[in-house]
Amino acid sequence: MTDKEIIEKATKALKALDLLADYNSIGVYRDINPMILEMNPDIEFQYSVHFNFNPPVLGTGAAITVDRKTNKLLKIITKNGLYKVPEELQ
Amino acid sequence: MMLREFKKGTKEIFSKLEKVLDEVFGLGDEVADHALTPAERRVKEKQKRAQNKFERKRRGGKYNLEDVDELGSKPATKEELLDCDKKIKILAFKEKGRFRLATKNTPAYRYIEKNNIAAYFDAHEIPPVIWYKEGSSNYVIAHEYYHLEEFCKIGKKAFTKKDFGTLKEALVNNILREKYVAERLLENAEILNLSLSELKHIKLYYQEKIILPAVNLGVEMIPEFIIRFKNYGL
Repeated sequence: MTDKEIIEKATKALKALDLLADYNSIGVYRDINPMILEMNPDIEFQYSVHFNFNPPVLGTGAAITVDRKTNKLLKIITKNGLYKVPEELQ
Repeated sequence: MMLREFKKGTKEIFSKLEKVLDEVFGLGDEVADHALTPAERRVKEKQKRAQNKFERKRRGGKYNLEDVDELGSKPATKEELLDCDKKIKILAFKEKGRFRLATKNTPAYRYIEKNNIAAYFDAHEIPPVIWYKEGSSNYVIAHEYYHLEEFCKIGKKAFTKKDFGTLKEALVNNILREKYVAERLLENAEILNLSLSELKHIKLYYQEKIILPAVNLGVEMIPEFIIRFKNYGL
């Protein structure tokens, strides 16, 4: 799955959950730093899509974790919430 | 009078006639509203808005956030909020820190609504303020409280440094600020009565929302950024 497709899917999920989706800096991060991996080995099998503002705005943004094998969206992490993505949107 | 109305146009006459008939026979929403007191009307309008919101969500096939929110934190009670207010007054006595509810007429409310957040700490304001939305949980408020705590320890200049440097500097400072909060929350998890999902959120928020993008944007990962979550049973 290409980055564009993943971003589209993630944006759709954010909108469907009534979360903010209009960010001006979106990135798909497939590489994991070994130090972060050491901190949390669970993230080996996932990558993430990040929605942020550039310049950064206090407390905003969302990180969406994606399964590396199936490209399914797993979780949405925002400052005040942790949401599971409904199956229809994965 | 009718002749005067005739001159204005037939459309208006018919609409006025309709109103008169409605009044006589007691039909239509407008007529029904006249009989209500202002308070009753406000309640009715509020119910209508809630109903519309519900309908809109149903039509758009959107999801109820409560069903997918894994945190499931309960809103802080009045006593808890008062207690927090007292704590803030003691903690930030020198800085005159404040704890304020973002009501509809405040700019903070618009900021909170626009960015879909529950609370935030505004270090730029004089005096510094923790703004919170109605229904915010203890966990969210505690997060902001620890930001204020660090603000009192290191001072405004160091705390707001992130907003004036390059993007990399901003990201590094953001990591350090959030690291302090995450560690303090983990240390006081028992006192704050944090649930397992809230503890999980601390970990995921720090690792995936704060550290990962910063590292991917070119910030060098150093041991100083590491939090040993294993030590806290996570």
